[in-house]
Amino acid sequence: MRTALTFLLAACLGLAPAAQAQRAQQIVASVKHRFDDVKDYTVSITASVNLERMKIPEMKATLYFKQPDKIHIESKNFSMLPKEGMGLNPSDMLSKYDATLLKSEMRNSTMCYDLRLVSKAEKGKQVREYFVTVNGDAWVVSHIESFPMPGRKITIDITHALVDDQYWLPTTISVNYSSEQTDEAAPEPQTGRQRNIPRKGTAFIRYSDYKVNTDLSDDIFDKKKEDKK
Amino acid sequence: MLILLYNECFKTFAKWRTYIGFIAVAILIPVVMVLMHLEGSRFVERQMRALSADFFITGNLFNGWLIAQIIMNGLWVHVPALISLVAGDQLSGEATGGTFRLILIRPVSRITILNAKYLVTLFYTKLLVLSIALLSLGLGLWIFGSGDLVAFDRDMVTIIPESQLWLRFLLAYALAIVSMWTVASLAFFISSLVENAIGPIITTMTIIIIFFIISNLPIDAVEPFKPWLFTTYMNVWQQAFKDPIDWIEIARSCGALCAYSVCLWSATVLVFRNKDIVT
Repeated sequence: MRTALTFLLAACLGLAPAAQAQRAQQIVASVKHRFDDVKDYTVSITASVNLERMKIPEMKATLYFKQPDKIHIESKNFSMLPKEGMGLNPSDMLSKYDATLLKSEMRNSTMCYDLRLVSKAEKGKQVREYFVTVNGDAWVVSHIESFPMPGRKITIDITHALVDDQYWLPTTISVNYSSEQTDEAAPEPQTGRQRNIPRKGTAFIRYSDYKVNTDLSDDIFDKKKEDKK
Repeated sequence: MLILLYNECFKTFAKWRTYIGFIAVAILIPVVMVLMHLEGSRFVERQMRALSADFFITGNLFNGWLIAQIIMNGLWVHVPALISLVAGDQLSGEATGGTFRLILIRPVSRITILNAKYLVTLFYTKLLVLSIALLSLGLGLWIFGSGDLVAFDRDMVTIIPESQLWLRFLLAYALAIVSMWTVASLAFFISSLVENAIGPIITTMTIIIIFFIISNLPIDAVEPFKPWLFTTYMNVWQQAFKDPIDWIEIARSCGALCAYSVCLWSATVLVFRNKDIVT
């Protein structure tokens, strides 16, 4: 009897991570499924980026998105918009990352799921890790934390709204870049990419005037054609 | 005084060497533009490479404004040489030509003649800077188009909206004129000391180079001397591309440059008034 119980407990413990991963995949699949309704969209963006060693005025741009992962940003003037947050696609979350459910709980009367996403090994690409919170009511990603390099952290908060009474799409994205190193403690000069990337700062993006499923042409996203113009 | 100014202007602009500066600018700027055009936007891409990994960057950054700013950065070492070519010849040229006695026997004071020559020197300096402005902005905007300006500083990147750029460049060139007037005043002063036009050109450039080196030396021992060197303030035009514009720093730099110019002009008056004209 004791042997049987021990075997059952061991089996349960062994199966628990697998069950968590499966549940996480279901959550990500729900997010993707919700987002699949949006074939394409066009949205106006207003962005304020405040990074160390950079002075950037408020930016206005138009963002074009088309499934599965085509993004084109058009701006008459200079614009610099964070890829983190704007670039994380629910389709990619399912195909390019391994998800694990860390926690699920009610927050502000909304069911929230905390997931850990680890990018699948790809030759020549660094393994990236994201901690994502999924809003279980709307099935959208509401919070992301990532660590692009040692000592640096990017925190993203996304608010969504119902567009055309059927599509949950972002209305604001707030990105916070932070570093464990203080300016004094940071070894200067650093080398390569680390030296040039601002360590601290914020970016706030406001989305407005959505036009969803207007059957955008692929030409908009064709960079080569764009360059030739 | 107006007739005197007209005469001095005529004399200065009738000389072949006065146009060397304009010709140099007219050749150099289009060459830089063509090279920049061939190089393409790689220059900006190199500067923004680290950021483009984490940000979507759009907009025409490789535009006429950026080219004009790059040219401004590159030319300010060479422009003093072109200015001293004319400023250094104003008084020593008369000595070399043996025409001093002839012009000083007229019923106008030595100081009036000196002032007329000094004003013409300042006018030439202003004209040369304006020709650089006109050519680099005109050609730059025509070839590369317009857009926001990415102003790269030592430890700062500032994006200046296109709508502000006309005023910013106007301010930058105005400050550059003030800075070049100090160079012209120096060459004009040295010109009053010698009787050969080559001397002021070489001496002016030597002083500028020595002062520039001292101004940029990151050594504590030279720090007390830096506020006394006019080269410390010569890059005042770069303040026009900072955000926010540091008006106090601009006033301080312009004050120092103007003080230098006034002192050099006063010294020239002193030397020229007591000069024994023997030719």
